[in-house]
Amino acid sequence: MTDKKQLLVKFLTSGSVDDGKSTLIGNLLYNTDSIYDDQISEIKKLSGGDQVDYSLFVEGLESERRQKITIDVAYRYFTAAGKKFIIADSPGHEEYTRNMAVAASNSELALLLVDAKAGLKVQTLRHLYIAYLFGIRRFVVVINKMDLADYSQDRFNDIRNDFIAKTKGLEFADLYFIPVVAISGDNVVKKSKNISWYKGDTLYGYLTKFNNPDQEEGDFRFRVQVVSKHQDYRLYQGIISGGNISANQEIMALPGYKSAKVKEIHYSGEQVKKAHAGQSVSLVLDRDLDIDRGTIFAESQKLPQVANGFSAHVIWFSKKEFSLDKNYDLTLKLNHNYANAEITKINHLVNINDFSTYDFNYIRQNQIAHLDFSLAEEMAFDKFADNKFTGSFLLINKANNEVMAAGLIDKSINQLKQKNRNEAFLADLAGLVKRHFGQQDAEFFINHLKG
Amino acid sequence: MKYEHLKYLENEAIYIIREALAEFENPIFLYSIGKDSSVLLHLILKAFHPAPPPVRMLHIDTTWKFKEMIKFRDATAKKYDLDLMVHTNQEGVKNNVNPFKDGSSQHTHIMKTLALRQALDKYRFDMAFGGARRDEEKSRSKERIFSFRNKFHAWDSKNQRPELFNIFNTRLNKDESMRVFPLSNWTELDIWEYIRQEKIDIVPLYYAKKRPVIVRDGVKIMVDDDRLKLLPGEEIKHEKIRFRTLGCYPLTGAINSEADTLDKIIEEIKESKYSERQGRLIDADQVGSMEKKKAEGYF
Repeated sequence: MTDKKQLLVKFLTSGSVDDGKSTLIGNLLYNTDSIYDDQISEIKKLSGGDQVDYSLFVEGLESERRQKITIDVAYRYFTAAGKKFIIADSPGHEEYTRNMAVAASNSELALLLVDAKAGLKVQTLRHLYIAYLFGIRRFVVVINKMDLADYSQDRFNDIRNDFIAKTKGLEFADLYFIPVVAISGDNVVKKSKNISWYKGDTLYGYLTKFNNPDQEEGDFRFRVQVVSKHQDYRLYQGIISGGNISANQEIMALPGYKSAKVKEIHYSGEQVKKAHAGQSVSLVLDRDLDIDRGTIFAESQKLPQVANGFSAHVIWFSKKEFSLDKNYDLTLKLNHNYANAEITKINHLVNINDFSTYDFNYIRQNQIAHLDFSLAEEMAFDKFADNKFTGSFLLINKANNEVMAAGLIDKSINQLKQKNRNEAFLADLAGLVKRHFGQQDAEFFINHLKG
Repeated sequence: MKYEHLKYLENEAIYIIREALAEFENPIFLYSIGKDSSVLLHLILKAFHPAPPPVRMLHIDTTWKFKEMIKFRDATAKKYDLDLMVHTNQEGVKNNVNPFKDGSSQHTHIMKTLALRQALDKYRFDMAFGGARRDEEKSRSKERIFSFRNKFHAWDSKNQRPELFNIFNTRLNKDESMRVFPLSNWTELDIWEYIRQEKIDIVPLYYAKKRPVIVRDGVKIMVDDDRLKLLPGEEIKHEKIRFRTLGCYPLTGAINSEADTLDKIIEEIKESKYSERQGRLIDADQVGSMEKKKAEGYF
């Protein structure tokens, strides 16, 4: 288990357009021998000369090579010092911010590029904020193009201090600054002679030492993907999304509140006694529960929320803007289920320059907003801060199946409806009591129940 | 020896497989007989173990596959009691389309891309699994795990569905479909290390052995049957060769190799200076050719 944490690192590149993300990754791959000779000769042909344009290693689409910008996330892989790295190289252009959010959601570390000459740009902070919002707490600020700033330590420190000042209030688990020149490879893999005042790690040095955050922490969560009948029993198949589970442990299935005991755990073709977060398992319970795909198993002492509404941060993907008078036919995909949903309130929007909030009545593409949602049915979920898998969702326009936004649950709401329903039930009961026992007994009975 | 990153990749692939089979009504596994398909089959079986997997398999037979591939395909289907369908573009057979006469790109278009489109239209599959990996080719590195296709089976690279936290938007309108790639994050080396770890059967052509070859346009082609006619100056030699990828035999380049065990193959790949696609004639046509093929409905 500890080995796993050593051996796979998923990180993304972020930062503004033209600050050199693709060049940096191209250089990293080239200098770790991660690119084959036939690919190098193809790129040399495209670069038009002997000078290799490293960014072409990662620009996979024709339109990207033509325009020399990254449109969509490119996934790259390399192995070094016994670790496998999955790189999500994301676009810096504002128009493609949504694709950067995709990269952030699947990573545990972010490289944030800054142009040494230009300093922090709006888009740099936007990327930082999105990565942070999407749960990343480990950042490497890669201050690039140091050659254009005369390799100046003062310039490096200015940007560093500016960054720290502008991110006050954010809590990082790790924050590291490296001065580099991506185009020549200074401090990417090899230590720079031009930046001799810098005594820290190169980017490669940092990455190969990186230790993943522990994914097994947190409460047990298992989401049923498939219920399959085999012989005379049922297998509940899915991935463990938090904590761990042992055979003979009691679980509660939500949102139906049905309890059972885990009888068998099957993992990777074998029966095991214990399983933990990240493992795709099949569970056999001591009794067959009549439950659907999307049911969450948890320990009864540490249950997720069950409600028909919540507030959430969203990043708006769609070109179509949102306001409360727009009647989009929306469905949410949350914990493997689709549920019809409605946005009932725009609480505020986030100003990504200084992370302050402001009131506004519509939301545009690439903006971040805090919204209230109402669901057509009760669902089980967690706060995103507690569990990023059971606390995140997609918002889909049923008219054209477009993903309009991605959301991160803040807290459950609509407890009111729940309360209303209890009161409705009590009123029904009171009517019944009154018919059979008369008014006074009914009042006494209801007050007794409420008390 | 166990590689923990392989565990991660296995867990992720099984999650994707279960997700796809739960969400679609008429799924199919596009089985190519190659090493990646063998790994994917192994994972599909594992995902539903001990129950049998709820999916059929389809092989697009161009009629130009290596004989050993077809033999392996049929033996595998039998061994695991799988529901295997085979489809060939009969129109192409009637017109005698072949890679020698028509060239790699025309042959591939008619016998592979069109054949696949025919099969998808005929059986109306709404989801097809494929064993493609992102490290194979540039445009693949951009593709989502759940990759949407419009009613013409085309991929729109600039308008892909966002995939966050492995939540997949699987909603489709009539005649649209999804391609799902559970091995997206695997590299060639991961595939080989996993084959070794799990002892997965693969087509023997991956292991080095003395085989009859000729050299044509600088590529070593194995003489698999008598449809390959020698050109003036060409001569059949028996050399110890193996294949890094498998496809239609006239379009697949062999490499000289001594690697006749998995350990040796893995060593060879680690030291190789060339990508596995170098031996595939269909990709070399032009830079960006895969992107174009996929816009036309190539898998």
